[in-house]
Amino acid sequence: MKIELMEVTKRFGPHAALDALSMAVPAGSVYGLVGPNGAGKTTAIRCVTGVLRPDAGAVLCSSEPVYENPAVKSRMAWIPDEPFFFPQAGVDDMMRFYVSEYPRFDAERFEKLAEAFPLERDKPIRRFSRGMKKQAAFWLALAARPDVLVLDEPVDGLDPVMRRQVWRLLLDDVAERGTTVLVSSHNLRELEDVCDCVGIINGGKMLLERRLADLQENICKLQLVLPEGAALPEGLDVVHESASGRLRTLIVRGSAGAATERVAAAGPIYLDAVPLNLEEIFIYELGGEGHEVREIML
Amino acid sequence: MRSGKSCFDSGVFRKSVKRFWPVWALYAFVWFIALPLGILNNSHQLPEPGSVSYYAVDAVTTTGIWLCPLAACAAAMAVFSHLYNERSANFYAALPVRRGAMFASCAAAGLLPLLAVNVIIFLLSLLLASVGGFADPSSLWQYLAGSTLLVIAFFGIAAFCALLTGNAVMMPLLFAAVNVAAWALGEIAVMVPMNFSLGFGYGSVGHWADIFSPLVSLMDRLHYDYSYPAGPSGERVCGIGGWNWLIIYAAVGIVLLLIALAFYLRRDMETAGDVVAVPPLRPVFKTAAAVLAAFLVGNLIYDLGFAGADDLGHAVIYSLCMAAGAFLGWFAAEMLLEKSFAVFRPRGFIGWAAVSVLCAAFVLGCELDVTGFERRVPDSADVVRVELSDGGEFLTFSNPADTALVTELHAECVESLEDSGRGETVMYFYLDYELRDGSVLRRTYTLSSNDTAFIAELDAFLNRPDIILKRNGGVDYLSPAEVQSANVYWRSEPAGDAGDAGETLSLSAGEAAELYNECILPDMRDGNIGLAHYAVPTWEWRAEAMSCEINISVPSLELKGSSAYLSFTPTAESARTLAWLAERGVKPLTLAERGGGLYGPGA
Repeated sequence: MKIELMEVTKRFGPHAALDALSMAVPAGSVYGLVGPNGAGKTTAIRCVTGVLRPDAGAVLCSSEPVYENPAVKSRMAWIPDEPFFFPQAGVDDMMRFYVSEYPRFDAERFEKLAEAFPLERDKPIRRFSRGMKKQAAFWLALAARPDVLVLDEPVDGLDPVMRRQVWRLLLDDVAERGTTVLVSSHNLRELEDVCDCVGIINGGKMLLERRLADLQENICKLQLVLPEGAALPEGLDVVHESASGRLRTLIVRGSAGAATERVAAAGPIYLDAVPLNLEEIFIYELGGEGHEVREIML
Repeated sequence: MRSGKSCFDSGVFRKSVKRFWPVWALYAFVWFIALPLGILNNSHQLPEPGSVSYYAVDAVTTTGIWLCPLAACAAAMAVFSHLYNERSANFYAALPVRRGAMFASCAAAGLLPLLAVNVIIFLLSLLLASVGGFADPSSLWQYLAGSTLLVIAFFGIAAFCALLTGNAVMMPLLFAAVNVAAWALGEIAVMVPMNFSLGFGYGSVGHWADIFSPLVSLMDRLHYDYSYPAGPSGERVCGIGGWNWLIIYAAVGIVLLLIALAFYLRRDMETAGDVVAVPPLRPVFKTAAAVLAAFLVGNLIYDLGFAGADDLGHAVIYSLCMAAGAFLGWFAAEMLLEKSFAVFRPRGFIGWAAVSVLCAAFVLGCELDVTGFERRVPDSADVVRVELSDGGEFLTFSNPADTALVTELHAECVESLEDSGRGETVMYFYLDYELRDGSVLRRTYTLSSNDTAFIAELDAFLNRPDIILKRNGGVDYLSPAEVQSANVYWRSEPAGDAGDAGETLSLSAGEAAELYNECILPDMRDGNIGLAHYAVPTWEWRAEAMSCEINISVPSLELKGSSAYLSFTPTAESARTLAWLAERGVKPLTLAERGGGLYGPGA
């Protein structure tokens, strides 16, 4: 199922949390939604899951509006940053509730997943640790066999082994069933390993939305030493520049090959092109939007 | 791809009913004690079949009237509690359930268990009453109908309140406010015209404000009704009086439930935690808080610090006190809405100022009599009947000559009091007109030591021989058969003396009738007994009045089964009465000679 946000605006009082946001999550992909704090990621997710009603625009899932659409929502599972469980409920109690609400809930799969999530099923979930609550949320969500899985800081609180377990299960579902996964996280290193597409959101607007491979191909890091008196050639789209003595580091838009060729014309003493990771792309793209790392004298 | 499951969600319903079972259990437990246990306790004690209708009526009017609102509030709080926390609100909103179905499921989960408890208690009571020998167990239907209507009424109100707010603490407060605020405001608001409008008394406006306070209204209007026909075995049956009000409030509850549904459909889930969850109602909340505080706090400040005459100066002071109260209410409400103490922005003062101006307009309007209330004296031709009282029995006049006299007195009273200012209170003067157009006009005047001229006129009117008889029971002949009891109490020693002890002479029915017909009545006609004495200085009255009281109890003409009391204090001029008493050894001193009161050494 494809997810689309079309010019979605959502206001909380005078503040526009989403400002004509447009976003497209291809069906069967893992889409990483990233952005600085307060960018509107959680608001966008709550619009996608039908919790919030947009003030303008449309939120569609397979071309159907999500809000007040039980048919669409029954095929969607959401794991928020802090999942909710009924106060006295254990995992089995929540399972029974999910069975009544989600027609595709697979009790057999639920039992099989018990191996992956070693939790006490009768103990009230409110007594679990944060990580255990996340595990319970995953257990229930995966057993519901959703076509769309929306995750907000999904692995926050999970130990490294459980993180791997969870990602493996998610990616298996993507591969076998074509599940669409929308994940919002600040852990960009982890997202980089799993995402097909990335959307960078800032100030309620989409800043950048690309396939991860395209993103990485369209920005590069050049480290170079130019001869005395030599200048950088014209035509380089430099996003960021720093220097350490004569060694200059440039973040340049465009492919590494094209950037290298252009700089080579200046006869550098040293030149090396390095691909950027997602975290670096995030930092440098947002630096141009006023969200850069600042030097502060204390 | 729209789902066919659109009206109700059984999963949410079952979960809610199971989660909140303590509410239903406690409700059932209290009802069990109030009704079936009471029937069980009393069934074996009856020597003969009686009516269980009393238990049914008592259950509704005594227990149900507080239990049903409490249970309804608790039920609504429980089933809509998911709206008060961001995580639970998001969870419920993300479920594949339409909002209308979610509301219906939650509302049913709150309402149906309460109704089911009512049915169970009814069936259990029916069984116990049948087994216990009661003649008419079926009269327990009144319990079932009454409790059901109460639950529907108050659950509707509670659900409405639950949807108005996003805060769990605010919800029961709002429920309480909806149930009593209009009445409380009405009770407090009349303080302003009572302070500043001449003639405005507690009964000057009808008690209609409590109609908008359902709990207060039902407490007032539900009562025992003894007009039901006797039961099959001749036993006395009673019923619930005020069924129409129960039905009206149940209908209101249903309407409010539908309004709550409309709110739920449009609810923004991000309002979880907000004091007022419906944005357009935020100014209404602030205004209501400001108005309520203006009256409550303003009246308190004025009474404690500035109460005085009803003049323009004091009206201005009262207005300022109300402005102070409005300030507290307005900005307290703002703090609750903003969840911050930093609310004193320039724009915020505009709303407070507007409320203060309205309150000042109300107070000054009363003081300046912009409606003409003070000056209004009905034309005697428009008067069907008028009742007049000096604080004792009401005297009724329907004769045109008498009503003309009363309206004249009224006009003189208004003229006298307009300029007199406040002095020491001497008496109260009540008037209650029934006019030809069906309306009622009520006035209450406090007459003070500054109103001597009018008091003298009123005194003269009240001491007319025909009026004296009216004021003292209106009995123009007393037969011995009508006398229930009679005695004379008197003091014959100065106050504080060793021999100062009250003496009592019990009279037979014949003696009482003789005393009344042959002595008291003629003395009344001569104007020597049963007098009003407002215009007479106290020292002068004490020189005339005897330290003696004659009490005769007779059946009440107005309230069957009750007694009325004729009470007379002879004066030194009550020659016949004093002579009759003296023949029987009753020789009282005057109050002045005694130097104390009739019942003790105090004056």
